[in-house]
Amino acid sequence: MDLYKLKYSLGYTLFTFSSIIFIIVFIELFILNVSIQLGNLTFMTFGYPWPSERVMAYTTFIKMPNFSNSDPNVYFLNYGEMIILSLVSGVIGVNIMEKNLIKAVYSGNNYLSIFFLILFLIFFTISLIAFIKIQVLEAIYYIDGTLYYPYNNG
Amino acid sequence: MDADHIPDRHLVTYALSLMKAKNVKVLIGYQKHDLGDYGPFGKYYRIIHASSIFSLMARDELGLAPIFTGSVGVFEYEWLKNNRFDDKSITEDWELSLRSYINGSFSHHVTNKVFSHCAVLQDIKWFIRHQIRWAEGTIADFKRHFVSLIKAEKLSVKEKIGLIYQDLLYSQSLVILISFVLSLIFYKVSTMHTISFISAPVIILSLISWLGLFIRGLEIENMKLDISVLVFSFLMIYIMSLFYSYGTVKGLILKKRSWIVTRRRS
Repeated sequence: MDLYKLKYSLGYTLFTFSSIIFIIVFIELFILNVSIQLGNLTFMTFGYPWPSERVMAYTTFIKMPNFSNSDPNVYFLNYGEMIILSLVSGVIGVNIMEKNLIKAVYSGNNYLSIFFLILFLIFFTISLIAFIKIQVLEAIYYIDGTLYYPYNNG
Repeated sequence: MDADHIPDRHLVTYALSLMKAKNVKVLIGYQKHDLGDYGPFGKYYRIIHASSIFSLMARDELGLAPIFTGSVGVFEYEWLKNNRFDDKSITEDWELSLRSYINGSFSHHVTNKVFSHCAVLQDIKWFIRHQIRWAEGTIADFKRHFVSLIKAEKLSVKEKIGLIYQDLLYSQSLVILISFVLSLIFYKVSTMHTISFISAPVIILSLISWLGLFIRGLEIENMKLDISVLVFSFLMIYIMSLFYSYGTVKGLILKKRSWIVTRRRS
């Protein structure tokens, strides 16, 4: 079994998807959604000001009740946490990738290529689902019968 | 030059003729990290060294006191005999340039045409250790020479600004980290919108300068723009700031320092 290729592809996948997540979240947080308050004046770029509590609640990766159902709003991984995790995992990915790059290049074993392809597809699908969930579904929501979406947030 | 460097064929003749023409005692050259520059980290390391020589050349032209960064350098024998490296410092090249600036003997010229080929660091772990050593040594030597730097009569105001900038280069991240933590604390107490008003231009300016230096580095090395390297270098800004802060705190507090030999891909 060619472990070097496995490690290399894992590192590569980790780096690629972490950087995609990082870029998306960075643009959302620091470019698209900046607001500056000066007295009565509010300067905004595009979306709503971050990080307000409501927005944080609606941009979590997973939202669920806890095990005893006493708290229906248990949030897991909001944008702030995700940007830090993607930073760290991206750098770790590059480290894993480069440690195994030379050995992976010089080993002529191709048996695992299909395995890597499947691995890639799995990671890609998970990221795509997460992306759609965060960017599309969670941005539109109802509160007290009013439909809220990015350009009509009251 | 370091022991593992491979010098350019024309290094000595070019350096000596340049030193004679410019009438200087110190010639600061360039380490071209083109051995083992594979992967995002390898390319990133090569580019940051290219952008560092670019900024040193710019500081030389502006009179903002460029420093000798360790390699490649050609010194006049008498000058080196009088000044000597300090073996107690862990960043002895920086200490030498700071000390000789203070005593007014650092006549210099910076060029990227005098260069030697050298290998990239083995991996990110070694890069972090290497950068912690630089952050620690820089602030420790600054602490030692601070009073004499301020009092130095032979230095112009411009040169003092350049040297203080170099002194505080790594400790900036500590200031940013502290202000970040403070802003998190204060955000809970009251919504301080003025923080973003001040920080937004700073963030934009630093982004522009980061991108500019990155492009200059690519130009010097004749490399093509690689998106993965660009993204990786942006990630490294955040990751390294933690280690720079750690190194700065270590340099400010601890007195014992240990020397490490960095492993390279050769």
